[in-house]
Amino acid sequence: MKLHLIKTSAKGVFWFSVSVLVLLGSPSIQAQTTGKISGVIRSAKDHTPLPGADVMIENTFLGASASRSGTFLIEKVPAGVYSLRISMMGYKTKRVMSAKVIAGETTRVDILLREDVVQMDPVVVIASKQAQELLKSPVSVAVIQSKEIVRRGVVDVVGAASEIPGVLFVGNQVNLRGSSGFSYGAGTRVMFLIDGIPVHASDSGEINWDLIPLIDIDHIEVIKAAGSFLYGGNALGGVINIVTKKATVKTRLAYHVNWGVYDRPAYKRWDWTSRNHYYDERGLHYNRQDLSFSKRFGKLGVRLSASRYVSTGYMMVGFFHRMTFTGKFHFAFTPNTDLTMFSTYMRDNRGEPVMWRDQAHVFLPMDAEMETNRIRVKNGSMYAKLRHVFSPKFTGSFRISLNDILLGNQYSRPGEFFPAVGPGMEMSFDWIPAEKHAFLFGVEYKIDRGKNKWIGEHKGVTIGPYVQYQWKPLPLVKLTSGLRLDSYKLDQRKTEVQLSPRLAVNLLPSANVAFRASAGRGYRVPTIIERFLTLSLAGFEVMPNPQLKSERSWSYEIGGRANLTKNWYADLAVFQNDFWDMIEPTIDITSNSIQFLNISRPRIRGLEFTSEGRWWHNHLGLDVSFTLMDHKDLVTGKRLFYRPRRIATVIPSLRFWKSEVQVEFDYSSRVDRVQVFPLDERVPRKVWNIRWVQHIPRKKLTFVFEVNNLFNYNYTMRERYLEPIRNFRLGMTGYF
Amino acid sequence: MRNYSRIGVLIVILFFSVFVSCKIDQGLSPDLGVIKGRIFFSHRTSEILQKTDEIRVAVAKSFPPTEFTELITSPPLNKWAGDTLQYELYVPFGTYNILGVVWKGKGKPWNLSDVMGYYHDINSFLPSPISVTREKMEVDSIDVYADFEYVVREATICGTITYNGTWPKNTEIMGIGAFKIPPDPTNVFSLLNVSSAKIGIPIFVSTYHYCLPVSAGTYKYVGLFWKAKGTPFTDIRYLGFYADPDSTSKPGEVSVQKGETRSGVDIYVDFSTFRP
Repeated sequence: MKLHLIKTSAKGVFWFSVSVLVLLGSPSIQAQTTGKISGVIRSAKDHTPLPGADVMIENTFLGASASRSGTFLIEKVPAGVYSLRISMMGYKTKRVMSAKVIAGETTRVDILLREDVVQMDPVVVIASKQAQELLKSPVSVAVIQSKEIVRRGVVDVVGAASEIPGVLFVGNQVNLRGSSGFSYGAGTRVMFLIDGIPVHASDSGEINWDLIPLIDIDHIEVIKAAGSFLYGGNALGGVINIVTKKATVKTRLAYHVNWGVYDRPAYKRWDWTSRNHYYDERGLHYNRQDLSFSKRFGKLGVRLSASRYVSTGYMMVGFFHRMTFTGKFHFAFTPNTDLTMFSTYMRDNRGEPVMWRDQAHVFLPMDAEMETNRIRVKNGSMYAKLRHVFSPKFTGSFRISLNDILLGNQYSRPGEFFPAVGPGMEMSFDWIPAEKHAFLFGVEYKIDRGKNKWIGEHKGVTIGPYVQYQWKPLPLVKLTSGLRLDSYKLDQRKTEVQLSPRLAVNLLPSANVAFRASAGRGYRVPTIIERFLTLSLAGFEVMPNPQLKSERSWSYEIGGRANLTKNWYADLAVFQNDFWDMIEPTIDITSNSIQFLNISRPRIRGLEFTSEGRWWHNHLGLDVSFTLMDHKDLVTGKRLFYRPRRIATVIPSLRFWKSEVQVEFDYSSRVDRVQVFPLDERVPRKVWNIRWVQHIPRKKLTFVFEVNNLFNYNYTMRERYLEPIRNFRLGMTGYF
Repeated sequence: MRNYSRIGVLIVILFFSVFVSCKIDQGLSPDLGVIKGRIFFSHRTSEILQKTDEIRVAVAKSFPPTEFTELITSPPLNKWAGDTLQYELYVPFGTYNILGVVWKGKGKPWNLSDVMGYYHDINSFLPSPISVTREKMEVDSIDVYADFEYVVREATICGTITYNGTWPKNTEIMGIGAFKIPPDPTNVFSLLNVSSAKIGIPIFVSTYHYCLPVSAGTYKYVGLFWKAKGTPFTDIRYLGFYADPDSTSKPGEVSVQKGETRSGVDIYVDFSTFRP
């Protein structure tokens, strides 16, 4: 099959998008046969208005957000009978059935939303690029919202994502159900999105978790299965989408500040700070400040944020200094047309200890050269997204985006790096041709360009048209099928074509119970770094492998979710992920070389259980999650690198008045295999955290005092890198 | 409300009681065991010392180790006392099935077959396991006799291995070795007489081109050995050998001179006649 899709230029995609938008814009919604829906959305608890709450007319793309006074108005609604879905993060999603709209009249609907103690069924967009309740999602989706992020007392995005069941970080590399392992960030198998836009480094595929201040996060959504049918390469292990907050109706200045100190090591023999004056004088500490301003000026919503995160680290050369600035602007031209623009810029200056010296000196880097290791990162990212509702049944959007990352002075090599640049654009349309049928279709275009002394200069171009069809043949059954065709062309090489289908079925026997089953294909093209990196590092020669093939996967899942009471849900899933030509860094100690190779035929299968519940008038809570994984290479029979077989988190909590005490136990079994030093002692992760959360609603303040790693437990997730030791933290979140 | 607070306080006390009463596990510790001993060298000449980059003591939990990452090695040893070196090797607690002295030539990569000697039973010559426990953190007098002649490799034997038939699914390790004294196929311990070997060569491939650094001389057996998953060292099997061009059922002899690379030492393996 010879395809020439890749020859379609970016300019062509742009003008095609504009033409489609103009053409489809003409059949405007006819006013003479339409009516309006208006009303007020208030809190059920104290009847205060809920500005920002969303109202959507189901089976259409018409909707509105509540104003400062909680009022909303949806205009140009064709006459008929509708059901409305009212949602807001932190509140239970509510449905109003049989809202009758008469031509020329306004239908009044007032709504009371009840606060959600446990986020039972939030509205998510990640699973099918359309807003839908989590219960109806065709694959396993998990969510953590901003309220929960504050409650769990996390300091950064990695901490927030770690709180999501089934998510495990090995170093800075995220693993969803054991997908990624560890390769110093290169070639992650998890797609990372900000507001649905991919933001990976164009040369390495690395995720920069500090691109967003914590205070900007509205919620984080995670798909734990291959998402290539909608999102293309990189999504074969899953997708993480950070949804940023919208501008608030009222002026709001919000802040989130943290101060923390590290304790002494568990053993006096490990105590290294007494030998180092710099650390002695200041103590080992970290602090973070996030600040944001938000306001809507008529049709323009503005949100500006900044954060500063500084740490000495708990080990020598573990320090970092990070600054992030973001701006989000939303302009509603009409109720049916809006433009969102977002940009972020971050700077990071950090040390990189790589590995410890030996088990008697775990806080010191492996050699003197590492003591001077500095990594400086400058990362900018932006997107602009135009959305237009052409008719109640047809909507479209067009976006352009750019991600630019400069890794400067990497491992004491100043001036030898150029920015990795990744511009992209996407056009997508949603269409509801009939009541039981819904289509999503679009096309994505992306360039990945990398250039430096260590990889040469390379450019990869991807173009990926996709389509998704949802059909409800019966009231209790929903079928979802999707297909994406990606063409990837690297430099002057032959174009590579990947087809990623997915089929899913949902069974919804009642409003509180849902079953799901899905099968989907995923793929990932090797990154420029994986193919071309040639470098000497820590005595190892990194060898290029230009012939590296794309890795492919099929993921299967059967699961079910039940809302057992109004504040208690349970979710169980059985999954199997088969990989072909999985890319892993392979170390040959005999020749001191590292090379990315396609390893033969890995399989990861397992079971995942999640439950969150509140009982006894919400005084007692219990959040539980565990994942059992059987992972191995089917050809060699060996376990995969850097993956545990059991992961569990248990968080009992006790809440009285405005105070809450939480005890968190994080467990993962011993990592089965590591690449280097496999004979080093490795132990399971058994970390206890304890935190006290104090809300002061009158002052709009929340305090968190936390002891992380209460018992100063020492463990590694990769070779010779000690995970954080005991530290004490005081956090304060508030707004005015 | 008062009842709630009492129960709440009770639960908090319960939590802390559990924590206080539990034995605290702190995971990794700086406590390591140490293996000490002396190495007695033979055939030590100034010529061989000039070609020597490093000499280390290494231990492995599994025997034979398939790659260098399975070894824990000492720092380079260089404090000679005559023909003797003293060593101290810090290791995590556990049982190590082999302790050996490994050699690295200047400008050459590590080669697992460059073992100058190993700690063994005096009668059987089998590797002796060494246990280091929290109770017995220091294991002393682990003395080894090492011979520089084992690692003098100034010639190379190269060839292609061709595999016919389906690989046994339970294949774990493949190795290739050159022997000056032919090994006894019925006695796996005769493998220890190997002059040069490569362990952990690629498996599940149809062909593999190898090169084996050897010392000059005549090798009467160049052959492959195979180990199944989950089987002990004693279950290692001989799989195929370089055959005599005149009589393919007999091993062929290979002679190499100092500095020579002898190629064409090809080996043919037929899995259809192999019973794993």
